[in-house]
Amino acid sequence: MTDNCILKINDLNKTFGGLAAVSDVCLNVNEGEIYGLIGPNGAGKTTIFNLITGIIEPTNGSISFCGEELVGLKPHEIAIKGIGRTFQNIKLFGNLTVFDNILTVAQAGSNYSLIDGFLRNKKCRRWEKELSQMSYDIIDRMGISKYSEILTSNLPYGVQRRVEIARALALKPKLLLLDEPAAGMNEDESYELSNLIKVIRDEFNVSIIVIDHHMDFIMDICNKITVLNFGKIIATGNGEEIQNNTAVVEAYLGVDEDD
Amino acid sequence: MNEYIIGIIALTGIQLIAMLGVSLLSGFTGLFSFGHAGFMAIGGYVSALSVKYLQIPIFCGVILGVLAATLIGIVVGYPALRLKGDYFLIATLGFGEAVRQIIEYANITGGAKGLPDVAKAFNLPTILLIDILVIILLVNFLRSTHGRNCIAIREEETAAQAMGIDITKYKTISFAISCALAGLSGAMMAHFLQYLHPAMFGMPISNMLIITVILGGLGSITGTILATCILVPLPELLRIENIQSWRMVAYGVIILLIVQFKPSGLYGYKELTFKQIKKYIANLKMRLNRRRKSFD
Repeated sequence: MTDNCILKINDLNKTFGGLAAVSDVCLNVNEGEIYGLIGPNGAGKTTIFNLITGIIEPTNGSISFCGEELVGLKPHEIAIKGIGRTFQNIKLFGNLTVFDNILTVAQAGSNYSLIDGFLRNKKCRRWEKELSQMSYDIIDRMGISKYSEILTSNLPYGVQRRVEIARALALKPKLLLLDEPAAGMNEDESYELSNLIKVIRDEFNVSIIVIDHHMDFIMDICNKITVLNFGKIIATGNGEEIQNNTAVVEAYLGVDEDD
Repeated sequence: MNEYIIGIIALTGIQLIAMLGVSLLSGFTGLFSFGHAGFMAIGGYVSALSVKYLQIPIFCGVILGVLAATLIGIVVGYPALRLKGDYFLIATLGFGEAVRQIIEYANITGGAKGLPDVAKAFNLPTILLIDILVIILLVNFLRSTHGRNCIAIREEETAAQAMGIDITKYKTISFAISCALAGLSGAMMAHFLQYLHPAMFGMPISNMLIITVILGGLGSITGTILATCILVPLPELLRIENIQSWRMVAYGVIILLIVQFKPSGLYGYKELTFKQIKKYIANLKMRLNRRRKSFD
């Protein structure tokens, strides 16, 4: 089981002043898995994403990705190692078109220098051609071709979410972190999204961690689920185990006073 | 053309280079500097003094001036670029003033009296040629991955970071390029005017650089060029006999009008490309033809 473990989090802690936002969290995400991270508001889900991607540093603990320690690395170094993410409140490059958003990120492997860029010589043009081909490919596979020349800030909310996932995929990640991808979507849209996420896992060969509040959505797509409350893990298991777990029911519905 | 008008066009061309530098920094990377006149001063004085005392060719002097502005830019930028938002702005503002003060109190620079008899170079065609060269290089840069990284920083810094962009590196690159262009502009100004004075590089000049870029429209080279061609010669064009004393007021009114009616600037986040011009002309021809047909 440890052989195909892509992300291993051990005893992760993060305190903001006196508040323990994340305490003693351990997670193991396997290759090809869709992992759900759920919990009430303020449970520390997004904080875990920020810790994994290096935007904030943990107080202590370790995060290893494909056997490499991530704690102490800068966000861009972690991203290049193969972790792509989306944000709870969409953070697209709003004044750029969908194509430019993807193209900006799709630069893995391009190694032409600053001087090559200034002179736009053969090497630069060859790479640019390849990068734009790569971007169109991702746009096609994500089914957003018809929006490719539209400014992302002008797109409807659901499409923006899709573009953000496409942009994260342009990094060619091995692990994709989705922060509330179904937020603000209606039932049809979130059904469509859950299918898309499964397709992404198979087509792009990524493992995925999803944060969300929609129980149906999470139960439908996730192989494994971890429930957080007040920064602590209260349960881990598959959908059925989670639904029958008393601690989880208490966290979501409250304790029955009569007992 | 009389010499006065040639002089205005040449100075506009020289200032355009500094404007393009500030445009890259503010319009494309989202960093606002209020001290770029300081880098112009460094370029100007280093070039003028090295030609005067080291007896090197003017061309080498200009290169030395650009290098000095770039290096000092990197040294200043290294800590300053780690500051967030307004603090970066204040750091650059302080730097610009410090440079001016140092020039005013140093002996070698001629102090507050100014530095006369700078070697003469640059005529109008050379200046315009350099302008075109700078524009081509800058547009190439912006169309490369390096340029796109800068734009991503302007758009959404956290996302840029999470998408594998080294934001400190690209902020430094953008700052260094803008300092190099400011230095080039300053050096050209020194050799064109054959005279340097600390007041030529004061706060008002830094302000003008940033105001022109904002009015032209952030994120647009076209806008910056347009605004420079309008705003730099404007105070001179308004120098008409009777309204002489009102010209700065008129200047202010024009700026207010642009802010009121076109807050995104003349050409914000757009570029005028050859493709668009071709398309426009083709469109115009088609319409003219149609009209001619309907007349027949």
